[in-house]
Order: sequence, then C-alpha cells, then structure tokens
Amino acid sequence: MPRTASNARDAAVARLGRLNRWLIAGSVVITGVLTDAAAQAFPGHTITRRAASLATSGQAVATTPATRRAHHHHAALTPAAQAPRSHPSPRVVEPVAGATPAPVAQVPATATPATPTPTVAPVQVAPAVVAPAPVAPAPVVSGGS
Amino acid sequence: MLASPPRATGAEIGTACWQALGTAVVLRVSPASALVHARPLVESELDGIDRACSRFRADSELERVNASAGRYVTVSPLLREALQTALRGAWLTDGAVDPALGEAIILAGYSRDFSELEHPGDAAAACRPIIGARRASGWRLIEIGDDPQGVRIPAGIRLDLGATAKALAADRAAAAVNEVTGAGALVSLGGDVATAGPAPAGGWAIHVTDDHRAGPDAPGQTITIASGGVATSSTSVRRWLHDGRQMHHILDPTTGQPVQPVWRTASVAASSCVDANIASTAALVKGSSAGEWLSTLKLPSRLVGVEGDVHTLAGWPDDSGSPEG
Repeated sequence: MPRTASNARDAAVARLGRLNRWLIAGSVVITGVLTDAAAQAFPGHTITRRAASLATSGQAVATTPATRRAHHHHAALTPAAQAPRSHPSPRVVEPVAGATPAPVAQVPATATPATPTPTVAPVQVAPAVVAPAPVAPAPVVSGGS
Repeated sequence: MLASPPRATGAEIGTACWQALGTAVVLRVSPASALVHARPLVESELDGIDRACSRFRADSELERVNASAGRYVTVSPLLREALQTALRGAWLTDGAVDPALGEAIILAGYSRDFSELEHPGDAAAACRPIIGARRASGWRLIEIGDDPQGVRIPAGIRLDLGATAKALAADRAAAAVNEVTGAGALVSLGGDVATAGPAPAGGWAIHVTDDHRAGPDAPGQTITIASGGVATSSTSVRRWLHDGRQMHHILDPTTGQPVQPVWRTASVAASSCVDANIASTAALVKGSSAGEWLSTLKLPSRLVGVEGDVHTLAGWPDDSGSPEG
C-alpha cells in the first residue's frame, strides 16, 4: 500500500476518533443539562412515587430531600394579634408584725381629697357590703422545663 | 355516634392539673362548665403525641423511624405533622432549633426520662467523645414523602422532637377543646402555654420565670395574653452531671454540646405555642444575636441574662426593671 494512502487513512481515523470524543462529551453535557432542567421543573412527585414503590420492596431509596422542595412553604414565626400586657394584679402589702389593726375606714366627704376643706367634717362611713368577687386563679407558670 | 357536648356557658374559669409526657399539665377553660368535656380531649391529644413522638418509649413511631435510619418508613399523619413542625423550626432558625440532635443529647447523658436520670449515663456513652455526634445540618437531609406518608432520616441521625412536639401538643389540645366545647381554653405543658378561643375577661394570666415548677410567686413577671401562646426556655433547669461536667438540655447544633449561655431564660409570646417555643429555644442558642433576631420578627420577648438582667423586646410589657435572682 502506498505510504500516502496509509497516512491519509490514519489521519481520517484520528479525525473520527476526535469527533467521537466530542460527541460523547457533548451527549454527557446535554444529558446533565436536561436532567437538571427536568428536576427543577418536576420536583417531588415523580421521585416520591418511586420512593413509595421501592419502599414496598424494602429497598433503601435516595430521594430529593423533602426539605429542599418544601422550604418555600414554611410560614414565618408570627406574633399574636395582640401583644401581651402587664397583669393588673394589685400589689399586696404584707402585714407588719406587731402593727396595730387598721382603724375603721373614714372617707372624706369631699370628692377631691387632694384639696381638703377644713370646714367640712369627716363623715364616718360604714363599710360597704360588696358581693365577693370571683376568685381569679393564680397565673399559669411558664418556665423552663 | 357520640353526641357532641353542649356548648359551654358561664363565666368562671375551670382548672385541672395532672402529669403527662413527663411534665406538668395545666388545663384552664372558660367557662368552667366545659372542664368535664375538655380534659378527656386534652388527654387524648397528649396520648397521641406520646405514642407518635416520644423518644423514651420503645414502641413510639419516632423510635421506629430512628431505628430505621436510612430507610423509608410509613408514619402516621400526627408524626408527619410533628416532623414538619420541627423542620419548619429548623428552617426558620437556620438550624438553631435542630430536630436531628437525638444522638448528641444521648451522648450528653440524657438517655432516658429525666426523672430517671439519677446517674450520669452509662459507661459506654461516657467514653465516647461528644464530637462524635456532630453532624451539623443533618436535618436538611430528612425526607418527607407525600404518598404514602413516610419519612426517611439519614443513617447516623436520631430525631429528638422534644420541644416542638410538646408545643405542638399544647396547640392541638387547646384547639380541640375550643372546637368541641366552644369554650376558651389554655393548655400548659411544662410551661409551654397555648390558648384557643375566647379569653376570659382580662385575658389569660401567665407568670414567666426560670422554672415552670417554681410557682407563680417565683421571681419573674406576670402578663396576660388574649390569644396565641407563650413559651419559656431556660438553661437553668433540666441540668445533670455527665462525665464530670454539668450539662443542660439546650444544645448548640454546631458543637453538639450544651450552649454557653448568654441568656439563662427566654420567654416569647407568639401566635401559637409552637412559634413561641421555636423562638424561645432559638434565642438561647443564638445568644448575643437573639435580641436583634427577635426584634426583627416583632416577637414580644423577655430575655434574662445569666446575671439576672432582664431585657424586654418588641412589645413585651416593661418589667419592674429589677434584676432577677
């Protein structure tokens, strides 16, 4: 066989080899791109069904983490409609040991005790009879547990 | 078919207290006449949560999932809801509230019900370094399927739904009481408080303090809420000795070890007990950045520093200003 023909054949084979490698590399890239596009377009359902069918056969399966596809649905932490308020419980004054009993209530007759008028004598008022208020339960305790 | 109970009427508040889920349960209803129907509803909810989410029951669904790490396991809707709640907490706190720390808490010596935790753990656990539990962000690998309702956790991870499951139970129980009886309801589980329905006049009174067992006279602050929930997390309770070290149950997910406390106690009011619990737990983990985080979320909060300094945020009513204990 002439040397030139042999060289031409070798060159053609080399070109075919390079073309083949480019085709293989291109197909790998295209496959990856299409797979990623499909995964983005159809998250969850197909994978989940595969998981379900494989689960019945007892095989371990690899699925897309559910949290990845579900995090968009996590509602933020939200405050209550109304902020908490201070408890309006009256201050309780502890009795002092040895103190004398409180005197009978004496209420000034005037409506403005801040400006007492000495011409009006204090009037002794009998304690009003008040129906017992319903006993409020002690606060529920929220603490570490 | 059971007849639905009559809609409760009246004004008084009824209270029932008992023990469940290893902690104290307080049920309050307004009016009090609803109490007889309310308590069985709460007991039923708590029993369901215990069967689904307890890591101290060998027969719980959670333990079945933990024992099947790496495999897909069909679960009940309740465990699925509890797991979704926990993962929501992890997402919203960037992992500060991590449901995948079950192995770390066991390695830290908390391997059984706290009431039984008299000894600092078994020898095998003590010999293992806690660093072995480090698997930060393992919760991101937890999978929840839609059909069937199954979950899969990665091998090497154990779930501990602890805090969020308890708060979820409180929310569900209060909602069930209100839905069935029409009464306003408050359910407290170890200090995690949920409400549903109309509040009594003046609101529900809640005293926040370090330890829910301390009682309403303990140092703290008393507030009222009209709706939603309140939760308090603290590093000053549930402590134990392990391997010569004092431990507590609030773990730093990045180290698997108890957090170095900046705040000893965090109380948060939110639209639900779950949200309040997620925020209060995360506040302890986030430490010095907790204040800004809670303020951004507009969650009324009360933080107590390790020295007893009190900080109120985002609409929480002012405290007396005096430091605590």
